Amino acid sequence: MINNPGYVNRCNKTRNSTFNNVDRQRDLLEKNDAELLELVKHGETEAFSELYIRFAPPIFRFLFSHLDDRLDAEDLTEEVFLRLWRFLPNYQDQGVPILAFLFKIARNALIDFYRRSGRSGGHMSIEENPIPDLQFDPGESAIASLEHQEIRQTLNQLREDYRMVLVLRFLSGLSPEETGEVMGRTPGAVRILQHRALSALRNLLEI
Amino acid sequence: MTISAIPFPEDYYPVLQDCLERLGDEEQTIDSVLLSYPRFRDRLRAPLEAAAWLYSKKIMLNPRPEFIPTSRIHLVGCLLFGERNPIETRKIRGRRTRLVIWKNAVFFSLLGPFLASLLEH
Repeated sequence: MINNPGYVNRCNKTRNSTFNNVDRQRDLLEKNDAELLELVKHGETEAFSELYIRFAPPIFRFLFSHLDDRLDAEDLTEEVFLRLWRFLPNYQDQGVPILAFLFKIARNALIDFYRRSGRSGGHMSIEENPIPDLQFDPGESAIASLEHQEIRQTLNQLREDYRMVLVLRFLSGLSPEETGEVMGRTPGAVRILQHRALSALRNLLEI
Repeated sequence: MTISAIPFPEDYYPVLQDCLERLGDEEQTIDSVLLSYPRFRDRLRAPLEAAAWLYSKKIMLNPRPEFIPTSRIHLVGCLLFGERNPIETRKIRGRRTRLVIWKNAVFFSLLGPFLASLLEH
């Protein structure tokens, strides 16, 4: 990456940008995703920063729903956005929303993570990482950890495509159209899949 | 014939979608959503209960409040100053720190007694 002249040029350009310009920040807040993306393509780190604030939470939720360890999810969230920064010069806008594009990167990052750690996706045992939380209150942390394990255990009993559609739609908050982009399906197919996945999930729940 | 075995009419999926969106608004309950679609009430209840369970768990997967602002600054710093990969860099830095500590420990444990005897003389 560091030997890539395009990347180095963009980094040099961005060094001159002002980070604490309040007016600029307000201006960025008003921009839509496509406009932000265009600025990021031109090496504007402030726009990248705004993009990160907008999209890091759903990406984190997606990753954390597949992982036992909160720290791993945090590291991978950063990695996803770094990959976005590197891929952007080659990114052709083909009508794919930026969120869907980010989730595709997140999926690949997750696959690479499993490969690196020699694990198969989504079916890791809970015992591997018994204390996955960083919150200060030990009681609260234990409850959060148990709830997280409950979500993972329940979702892991579902088929891969069911789990994916539920995580994308309900935990990450993607629309059927965006989910379709990530999963390579039409929005109509996503609606049918989500119905089946929800019915399968309901059969597993004791409510 | 059970309800699930009956084929779904075409307008079922848009109805489910509408119910899911209204349930996601957090101001509506399953029962209040179902009131709008009495025709599909029996079919909609199970998927809506599952969706409500997922929505209730969403908060457990949220990032720590300090994570986004901290990592944002960290990431932008990495882009501005051209670090290869912040995660890799962090690991390498950790390894380097450990190496320096070990080197110092070995150095002082070997030379410490010698230097102390020199000082005594």
